[in-house]
Amino acid sequence: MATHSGTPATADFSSSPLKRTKIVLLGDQSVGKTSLITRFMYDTFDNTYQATIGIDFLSKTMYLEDRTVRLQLWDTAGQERFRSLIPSYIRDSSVAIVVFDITNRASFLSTSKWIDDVRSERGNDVIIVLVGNKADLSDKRQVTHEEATAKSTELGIMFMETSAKAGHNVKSLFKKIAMSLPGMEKDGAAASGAENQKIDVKTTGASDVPDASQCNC
Amino acid sequence: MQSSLSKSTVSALPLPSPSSSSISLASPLQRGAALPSSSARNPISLRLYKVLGTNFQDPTTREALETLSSFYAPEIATPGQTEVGDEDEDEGSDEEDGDEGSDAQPIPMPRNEKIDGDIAEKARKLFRKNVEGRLLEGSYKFLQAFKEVDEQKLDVLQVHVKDMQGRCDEAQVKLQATNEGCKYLLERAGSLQMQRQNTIARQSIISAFLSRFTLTEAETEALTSRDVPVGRRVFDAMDKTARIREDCQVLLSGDGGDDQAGLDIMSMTAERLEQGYQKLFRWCSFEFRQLARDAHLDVAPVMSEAVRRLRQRPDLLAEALKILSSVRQATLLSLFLEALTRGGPGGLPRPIELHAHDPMRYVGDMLAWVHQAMAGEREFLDGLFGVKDGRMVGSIREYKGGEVQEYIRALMDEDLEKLCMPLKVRVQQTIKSQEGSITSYKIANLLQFYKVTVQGTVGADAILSQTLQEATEIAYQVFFDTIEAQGRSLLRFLHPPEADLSPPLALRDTSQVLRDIMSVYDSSLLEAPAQDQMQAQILDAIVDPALEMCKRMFAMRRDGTKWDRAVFLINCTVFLQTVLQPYEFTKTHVASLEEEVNESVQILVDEHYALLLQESGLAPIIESINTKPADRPLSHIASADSSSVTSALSNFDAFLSTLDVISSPRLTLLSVPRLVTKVHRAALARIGRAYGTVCEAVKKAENRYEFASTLLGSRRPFGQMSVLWQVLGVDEGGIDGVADSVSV
Ligand SMILES: Nc1nc2c(ncn2[C@@H]2O[C@H](COP(=O)(O)OP(=O)(O)OP(=O)(O)O)[C@@H](O)[C@H]2O)c(=O)[nH]1
Ligand SMILES: [Mg+2]
Repeated sequence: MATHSGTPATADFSSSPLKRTKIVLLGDQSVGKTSLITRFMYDTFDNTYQATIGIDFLSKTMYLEDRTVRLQLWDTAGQERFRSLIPSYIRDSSVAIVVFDITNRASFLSTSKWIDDVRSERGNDVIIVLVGNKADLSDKRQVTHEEATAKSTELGIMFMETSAKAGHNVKSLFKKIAMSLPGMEKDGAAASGAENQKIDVKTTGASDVPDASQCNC
Repeated sequence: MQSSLSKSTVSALPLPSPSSSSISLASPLQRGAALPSSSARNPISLRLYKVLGTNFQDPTTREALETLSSFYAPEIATPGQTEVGDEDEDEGSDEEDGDEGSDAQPIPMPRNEKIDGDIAEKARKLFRKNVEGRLLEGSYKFLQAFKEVDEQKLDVLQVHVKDMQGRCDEAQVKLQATNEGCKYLLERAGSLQMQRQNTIARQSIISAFLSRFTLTEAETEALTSRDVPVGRRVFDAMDKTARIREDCQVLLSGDGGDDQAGLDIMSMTAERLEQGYQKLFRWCSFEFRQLARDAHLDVAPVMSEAVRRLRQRPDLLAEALKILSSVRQATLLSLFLEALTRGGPGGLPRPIELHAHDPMRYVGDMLAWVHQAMAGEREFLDGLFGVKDGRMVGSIREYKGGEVQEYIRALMDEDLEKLCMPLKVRVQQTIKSQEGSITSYKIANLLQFYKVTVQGTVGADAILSQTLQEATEIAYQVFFDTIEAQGRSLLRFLHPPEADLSPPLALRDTSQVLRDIMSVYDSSLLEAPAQDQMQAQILDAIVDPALEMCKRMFAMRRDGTKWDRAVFLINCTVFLQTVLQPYEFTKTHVASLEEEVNESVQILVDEHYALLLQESGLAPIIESINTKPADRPLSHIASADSSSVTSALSNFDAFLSTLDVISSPRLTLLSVPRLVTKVHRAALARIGRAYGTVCEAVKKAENRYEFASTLLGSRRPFGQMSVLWQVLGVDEGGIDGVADSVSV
């Protein structure tokens, strides 16, 4: 059997298995979590709202210049009655996308709660991205880009405005997340590693915000 | 030759120079040829010029001169010879033939020591003679030589020629024979050549056949050796083997002939292919054992390819998958226990058991962990079998059937199997340790939600689904047990109702439970249809015992009147109704409680009316009307004669003047104002009807009242019903049905 242990490295079948990254999407009802996933997965959009019931997952492999990552996306329901379930999913996710609707101020205020939940479950061992969705509805805007940016800077997280409807910034959102993932070998690292990661996130977050506003919708 | 020439030229023949006075050499030939036409000048000088101008350099001349010089070489000359030579006369060269053999003497040559002029002179004199002599001598020698040839050598030659002739004939015969012999050889060579051609053709056919129908050494090695890693090379070799077998099958199915080769190939390749499959099997088994480390793993392409191929050998695949599932079972179990007790590295995420004090969080975390493990396993198996999950997020996974789906379904089931027991045990413990019914109801709700969620991925028949189903049932069972126990304890500790007949404390407690349950229901994780039946059951389990309790409580009251009982029951029932009313799904229960209320209301109306009738003074007359024999006029009955009627009517007048049409002191314990009004009015309406009955009876001739209209008209309401209705504040219409009409 010993001779077999080195076998998998072969010509056409040489790629090694990918590590998976769990990403949980959080945010109030109807801010567009499901729509963001659907845009990312299938590049489609549906105007009719169908509230998510419970929690579901989908996976996608992303091929980037220098790495390939497998993302497991967990879509949660924004309805209040499901709220108690969600911390159990945050618990096991290394990335949290906290979504609000730029035309709904209340949904922006709720993001604080969601971010608190994430921090209480994961501490600093997590990448948090604040996402202002529905950027195509700028005439109904209730949350400015500046205040969302200020909030993200204050909390040391990333921020991006997206439109699932127009498809703006959706790919770049996930790409940015993939690029911020710690190296594959770092997966099981201890608390000290988590510290480094926090710094990573901060710097990336800060430098990327103007970027995101440039490709604003 | 060159050296002798130059030597003789230098020594014997002085180069002609203009200063030389003697004419040394001039061949007769040259002399004749070089004679130009004489000019008018001095003939001697002309001649000199001519001699001097003669060119002796051309090879012919030089050769001639050389030859001549040998005639007169000084060394050769002897004194005797010189004398002979002296006699030679200068003659023409044309006399050569006539003098043959006359002079065999070598040409006397003057000696070197002697003067050159002497030799030249002799040469001039004897030249012709000498030359002719030499010719003669040569001819003679020639004759001499040929004489010999003629006499002996030709005969010998003749003999030789004859001999040769013989041999040639002999050779000819031999050649003939050899030719005969060679002909066969040639033929044979030709046929061999042909054979060779055929053989080459066959060889190329065979090597083509071999390359098509046999495996190369490298390919065989790929299939059989452990040194060749599973990968492209092994897969290619397997493909080739399979192709050989297919082709061979085609050949074998053709017309008969010698099938032995085909059969050999088939058995050989069968063996190799089997070795290939065995190799894949061993490799997969080994690799599967390595999948113990991680909860979230992805599949390398080589592995899914190996599995895809192994599907051709279901037995082997099944065996390998058995290893896989047992590895995954064990892995997931240990990861689950780790998540429960140890949590993540560095303390986050926290161990699930840290939340054991918070049953909802604790059970929720466990279920969410299992949910995520299931998702990971599903993804892994999809990858292993190369299945794409193209469904929309949130939509239910359809089980489409088919070989691959069946493999995945079975593996999912097995992989998650070992989680079921520890999960169930912990959930059960949590449920059982709950004090209140609400928590077990919430847990039941949560379990049911996850059962539905999990079913969407693994199907209803999966062990995990079954486990959650059982856990859900247990939780509901515990819940129902709790509320039933509560119901029983309600009945066990009964107290008679308070004097004010208000809903008892026990009923208020029960209502609080009911409220909580209904608010859980309202925020239920489940969709309405799944829940409604459950809810009806819950209501039955709570509401029925509560009402029963109230009835039994009242029964404990020794002096309990029918009236008080009705009031108490109405108070309790309506209290329950107000708890239920806000929720849509309680409609049927609210309606059935309404029936209970109406029953009691009817009792109250009857009772209230009877008492009011007494108070109004009409009671004896009504009594008489109802009991009189048909053949006696009413006025002849003592209790209903004119004076009795007069006093009854004056009593009624007084009654009306003090009447409170809104309420009655009797009804103060009824805690529902709406029903107080309702009962009072219904009773008053019946009083009105009673007055009407009295009036009609008085007016009837057969009852033989004198001055009937005066009798009625002396007191209010003067026999006029419309006046009475006004006083009572009741509408004439619907009097009869008033007790049933809530709105009156
Ligand atoms: N104009 C606009 N509408 C959007 C956008 N994204 C989502 N919507 C709409 O917003 C509504 C809600 O979108 P969902 O994706 O279902 O929201 P959700 O966050 O998943 O909601 P829950 O599942 O209830 O938590 C839908 O009607 C979408 O069509 C966007 O970028 N622009
Ligand atoms: Mg949704």
